[in-house]
Amino acid sequence: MSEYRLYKVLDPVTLVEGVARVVIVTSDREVRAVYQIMEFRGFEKLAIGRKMEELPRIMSAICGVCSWSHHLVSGKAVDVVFGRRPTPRSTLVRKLVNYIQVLDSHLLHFALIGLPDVTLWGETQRDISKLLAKNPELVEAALKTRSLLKVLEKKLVGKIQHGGFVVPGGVTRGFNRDEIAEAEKILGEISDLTIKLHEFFKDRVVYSGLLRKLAERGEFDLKAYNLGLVSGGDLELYDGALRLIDSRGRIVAEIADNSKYSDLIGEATVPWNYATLPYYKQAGFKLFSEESTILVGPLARINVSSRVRGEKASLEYGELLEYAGGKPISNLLYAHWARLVEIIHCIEMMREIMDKSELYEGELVNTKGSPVEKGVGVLEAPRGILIHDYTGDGELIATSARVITPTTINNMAINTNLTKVSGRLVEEIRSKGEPSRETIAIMESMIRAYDPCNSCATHVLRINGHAQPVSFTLMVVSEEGEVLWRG
Amino acid sequence: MLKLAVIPGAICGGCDVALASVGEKLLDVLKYYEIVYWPIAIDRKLSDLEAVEEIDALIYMGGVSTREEYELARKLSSKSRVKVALGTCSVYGGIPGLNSLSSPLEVYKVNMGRSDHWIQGDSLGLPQLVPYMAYTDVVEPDILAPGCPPSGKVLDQLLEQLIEYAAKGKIDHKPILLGDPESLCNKCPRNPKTTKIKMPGIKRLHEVELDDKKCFLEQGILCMGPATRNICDHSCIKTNYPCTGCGGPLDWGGDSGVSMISSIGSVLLVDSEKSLLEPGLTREIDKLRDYIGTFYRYTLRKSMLYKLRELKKGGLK
Repeated sequence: MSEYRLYKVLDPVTLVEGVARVVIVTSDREVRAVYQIMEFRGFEKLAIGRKMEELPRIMSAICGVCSWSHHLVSGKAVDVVFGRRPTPRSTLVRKLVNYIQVLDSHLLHFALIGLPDVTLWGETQRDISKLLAKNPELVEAALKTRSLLKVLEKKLVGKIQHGGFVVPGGVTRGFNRDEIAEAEKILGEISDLTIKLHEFFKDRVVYSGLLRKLAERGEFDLKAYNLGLVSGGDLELYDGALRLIDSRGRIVAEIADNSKYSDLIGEATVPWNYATLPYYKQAGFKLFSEESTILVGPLARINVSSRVRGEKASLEYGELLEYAGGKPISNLLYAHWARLVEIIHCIEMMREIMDKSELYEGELVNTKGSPVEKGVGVLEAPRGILIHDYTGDGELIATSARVITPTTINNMAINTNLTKVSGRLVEEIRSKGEPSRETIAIMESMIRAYDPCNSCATHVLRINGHAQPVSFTLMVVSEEGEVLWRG
Repeated sequence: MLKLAVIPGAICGGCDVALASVGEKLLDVLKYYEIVYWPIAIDRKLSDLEAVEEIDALIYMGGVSTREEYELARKLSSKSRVKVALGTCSVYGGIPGLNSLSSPLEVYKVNMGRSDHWIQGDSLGLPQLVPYMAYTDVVEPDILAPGCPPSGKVLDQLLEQLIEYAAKGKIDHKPILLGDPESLCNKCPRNPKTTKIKMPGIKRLHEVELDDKKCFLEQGILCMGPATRNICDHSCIKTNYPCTGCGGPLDWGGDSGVSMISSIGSVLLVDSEKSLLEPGLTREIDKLRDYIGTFYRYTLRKSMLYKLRELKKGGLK
């Protein structure tokens, strides 16, 4: 039971545009925004009865955009179930792949979605084609990183999406020095192109003062809990402790044993979404309230970490904090800059791994261990904390699976931010018959800043602009269920 | 210009990304076609597509999981000249098709069951779930492009077909199943002597340190290669991972499981059949454990198993 009331949408939804829909619910007392994800594929059910060593390949199909994140985190969970500590060499292989995954996803978002969104602020069209018309060289550089990344991925993992290489205790395939030498060359080209994007962003967005000006808008603010992995306090993407800070930056919890994640995260089921609404368990569930909302992803990672490894990444991190006025950064628009810090970090960490002799020597898989009933894997996917939690029977057949994805965790936060602007939107519709372009632009920018991946969220998806709801259906409904306006 | 629409159903996004990554070949197609709808690539509304009277080529990605998807797939297909099922979910149901033997409510209950908190209220028009289907359960496509996601090879073939259609105005021999009409074993880089393979018992993936040169079956590892159409040029096998069958059966209408069981029957413990006899062989086959997830991981929705079950329920004509 609950005290929350939402109102019936009488208009049958015949056509659903894109991945998701924003429904604004109005009454005399309040206006609320609901970010709806529209379908459901049920991976937690289909995992039951499967051989657990095969789950990494099966569960990777949750998402075709970050399939490696799911493949890797599923592998971490089954390592535990099989009681196998992965070999040092296989851990390096997995970490390298994880860095490529984050780099790929971040570069895509930063260059093709984030840059146009922020640098073309105030213009009607804020997409890559407009940026192309204005800054062709920059867009060419961005697109070139796409093709180079695909070459790199193909070289290292063979099948770019839904490939398989993780098995309990290790990987099926390592790299030799020739392969890595080629990969390093490609990475160098990507790095050079990234510098161009970096300089453009700093010039247009940071030094121009645009970011500070935009950040003054309260709507982009989120005073929530932040959750991320840290390793000795450093930003960590593969293996670390779960650190939770409150909206004032105080460390509320730090859990080295990731299997206890459910001490921090609760899930609420709501009737208007196939994805759950995760929340900070100790705060209790409060719908549409920042008090139980958890933020994950690049900005949260920057907020929870004390340091970022890598010479250039560390400098960039320092500059970001200075500009934003210290941690925690509560303005979501800074997520674009946080992504940039991580892009630089990933490139530096990949080079570090490629230089290690352990990447080329030693066993690829550890086949010894005593199986246990339950295994949890936690990983930083590009969009934040990703959890796979499995149990199995004595013959290592899965009896349950629970998957919590970053976009699911961020669902409450997205609702909260959208609600902040929805009052104005309704006001505009009432007075002028339609919302202003600026208000719609703010809502789009909010959703883009979160970089939601809805395929992950309900293990599910309709993807739009690479996991990005560039356009979404927007509708406003009254308490009586009448559709007042439809975008 | 002909009109091309790309429609996402219940997808993971892999097919979208794969199609968007074909690069220059796509530009060749764009000499003949105008893209009238493709959410990942162009900013057009579904209402724009509704207004289009006829679609020349429609590419449908993913399965069908909601009533809205079902109706949309039917409605758009009915005004499309060439219909393409892109990706294994669209053609065979894919991995989400593993839920085909359960009702949507049974599937959803698994998620609800773990919740710490329940909110009641209205669904705000959330689309209604239907029993999961492949696109091929909704209409009969002209071109079937399997793969999870489809490989560069399948996508090249698809684009060639679309260009050919643009030139000739018709499709011969429907439906066309893309990929090469042979099993993966045929050109396997591990060069298995297919007539002499001996499977030394059944091992699970975690039980063996995989040899990266030797036929998986000869290592006791179940590789779906013999029962799977060559759509990929062995991309998984090349990373030392056995084929899991995402290309589907060799021919349209085939059954991956039946064909794989027959393959195993002819190679499993062929040396010791006489001493093991039936009970011994049965014990060995039992080690496979999850038959559905092994043989029908991607094709359960189109399998004989599914059809038999529906017949039993009286639900299949």
